[in-house]
Amino acid sequence: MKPKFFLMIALFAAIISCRKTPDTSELSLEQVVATDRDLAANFSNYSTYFISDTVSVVANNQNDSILTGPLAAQLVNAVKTNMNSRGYTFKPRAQGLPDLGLRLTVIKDITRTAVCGGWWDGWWGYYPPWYWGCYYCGGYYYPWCTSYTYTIGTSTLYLFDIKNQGNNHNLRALWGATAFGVFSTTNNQTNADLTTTAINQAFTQSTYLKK
Amino acid sequence: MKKLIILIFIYAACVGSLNAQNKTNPWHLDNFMTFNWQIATPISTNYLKETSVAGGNFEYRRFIKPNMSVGIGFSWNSFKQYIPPRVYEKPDGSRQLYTDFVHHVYTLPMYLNAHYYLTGGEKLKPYVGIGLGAQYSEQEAYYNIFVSEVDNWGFVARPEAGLLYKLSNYLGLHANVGFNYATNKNEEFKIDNLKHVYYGIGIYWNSY
Repeated sequence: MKPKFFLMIALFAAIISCRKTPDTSELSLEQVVATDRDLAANFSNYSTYFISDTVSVVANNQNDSILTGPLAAQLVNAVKTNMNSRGYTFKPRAQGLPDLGLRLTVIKDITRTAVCGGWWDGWWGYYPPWYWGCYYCGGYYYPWCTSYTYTIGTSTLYLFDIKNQGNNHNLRALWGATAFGVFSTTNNQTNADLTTTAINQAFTQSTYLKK
Repeated sequence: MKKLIILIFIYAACVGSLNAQNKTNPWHLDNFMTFNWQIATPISTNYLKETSVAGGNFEYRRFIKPNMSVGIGFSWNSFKQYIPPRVYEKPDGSRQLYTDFVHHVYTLPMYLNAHYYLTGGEKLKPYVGIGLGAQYSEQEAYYNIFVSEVDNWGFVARPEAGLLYKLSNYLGLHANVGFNYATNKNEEFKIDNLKHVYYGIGIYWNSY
């Protein structure tokens, strides 16, 4: 009786310890968007704004520090469209200081990692070896490893108070948006589209940001 | 919750009284094990509400009297729910967050149990019981390609009622319904406790 009993317990313990990570395929790949505001700010006190037509870039490639061209224009125009719809007017630099200044930055962080598994990883039969591209492992009992690359994209958009800057030119941030999530490693148009959607969402959830 | 407990006792009393006329006792239960597939529905939590079919239960019971057993048991349940995208806002309005989530809760109650068996009939034997012990749990929130996870321990209490159906002196079918209350707390996800109703169906194995 006792050996059978302990065998049963061991079997059951093995089953429950091999629990599977839940299916997350339903999750959207849209960026997570967080916005912060200065509660003391009265956004209706401002009329004009300025944003550069280039976008700051932080990436593994040190030569990529500024994004220009159509992709930058797509992002900057998204900001302008939203600001204009909220009652603010774009003021070119040549016409003097605006009331508000916006700065858009994109951070692209490429990460490489490796996953190793084996017969102990997950339910037996649930993750067949070929699931991860291992066609010749020959069974479930050999440990195997695979590496993959993923890219995290983070975009920040900050709104500064130019109108009330101090004598030492300290600028107060009145509003900030941070968007983050998975980026395409190779397709920058996809990344620009994800960021554009995130910019629009940042304004959508900031209903207080209006003239 | 109160309704569930009342229902459990009414059910047990009714089944027991229906068979109370049977004076013979063909049951010889001694060392007793149950293996159940368990369906569970979380209650009173805003974190997730979807019924889960990913669960199981194992119990060992030793009869100390013809109608009473004590033993040990453990269960596992894996709850999951997709939360569509929406904006979450701090109460003071200073911060907003937009995303969708997959909420996941894994529970692993481990407990000592005691059961009281009603007279029953030749084939059927109802029982009521309770399990008291500890529950390990993991709570996870998946979003985009990220995850926030917390694990904790809590006290667990599991009142239940069940029914045995004898196929032979050694083997039979088993069904039960119960309530799992655990004090696992997670301030980050605003979980004060973890509660679920479970429905189990499986087999029992008796050795004497």
